[in-house]
Amino acid sequence: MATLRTIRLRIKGTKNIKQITRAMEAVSAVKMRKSQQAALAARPYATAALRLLKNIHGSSVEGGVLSPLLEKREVKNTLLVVVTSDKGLAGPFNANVLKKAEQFIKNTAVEPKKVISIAAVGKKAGEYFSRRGRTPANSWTGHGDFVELGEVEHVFDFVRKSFEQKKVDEVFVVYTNFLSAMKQEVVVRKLLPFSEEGLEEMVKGIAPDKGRFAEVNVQDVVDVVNVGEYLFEPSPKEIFDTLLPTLLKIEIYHAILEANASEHSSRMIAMRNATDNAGELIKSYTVSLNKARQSAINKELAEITGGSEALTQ
Amino acid sequence: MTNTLQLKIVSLKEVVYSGSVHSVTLPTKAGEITVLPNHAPLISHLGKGNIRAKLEGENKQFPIDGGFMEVTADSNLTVLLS
Repeated sequence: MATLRTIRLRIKGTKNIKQITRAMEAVSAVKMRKSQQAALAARPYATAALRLLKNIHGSSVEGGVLSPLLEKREVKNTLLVVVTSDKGLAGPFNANVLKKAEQFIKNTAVEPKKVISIAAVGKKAGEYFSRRGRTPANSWTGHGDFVELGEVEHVFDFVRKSFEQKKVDEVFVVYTNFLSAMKQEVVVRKLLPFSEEGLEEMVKGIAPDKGRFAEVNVQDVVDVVNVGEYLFEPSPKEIFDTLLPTLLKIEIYHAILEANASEHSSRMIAMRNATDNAGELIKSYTVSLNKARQSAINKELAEITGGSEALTQ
Repeated sequence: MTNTLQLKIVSLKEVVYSGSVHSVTLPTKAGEITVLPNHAPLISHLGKGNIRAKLEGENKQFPIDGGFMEVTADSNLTVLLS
């Protein structure tokens, strides 16, 4: 049986932990709200951009490939961009992304001669793959809690250059889509070359099917068909050269934004659970503390009565 | 035939404007253009300047740094600000 002192120490320690987890929960809640707002605010833009991309995609057929970003090649090298967080203690958030990435690698690597390289966004992904002997081709950390478009420039540059210099023939991204505070979903999306199906998936993925964030009307986006041939001013080539890279950047930015919102909500839930568990622990420790104290008192009483009885005899 | 244009201006942070207008003047890279309802589908690159939208007896003005615009056959005009 533990002594009174050790139980008291344990209660104190647990109380401290509870205080920390509760503070972390509060911080994550605020950050979640903010990054959620950022992610939601970017959604109309992202849907509009993706729709635009989808519309002009058909126009690229005549007159050959208008942009190197649209070029479809035989796939030998695949680049997988893995979006995780820099910090841990976010429940299953990073583990889920990494699991999905691992699964993707396993499924893709079945075909012979396919080489998969990794680009890691966030410290956790970098560490994970380095530890497993699959050193990332490139990794970035320090994407703040509230990313600005300029901050994803490195990621975008790397992805674009790898593809344009034919180091890789397709690019996928695995990230966590924010559905609600309680629900996030890890998804794999094809970034390059731009393809109709990939874009449609991305647009559908942006708007959750239910909940109060479902305000983006997906049907609107997907149903735009037969818009007719577009005029391009000044010229199709110029438009494609500037528009496609911008849209690629937006896609990457959006993925990181969603991941951020998911990270914070996942951490908030994890910390709330930790706080609840600490409360339970304290309760059960208090019970055993009271029991130990009571039995100590009983023992003392027995000793005193035993002593006084021995005296009177 | 519709006689209004659905204008939507979005930036990464917010939807700047969304509503029906009669005409929109935009600063494209190749010069200023005015889009009226039932314009042919068009995609263009925008430069620095002002977007001016005309409504019933009301004018709205949005300064921009650049971006893209898309006009669809069903008189929807979307502006993506950069």
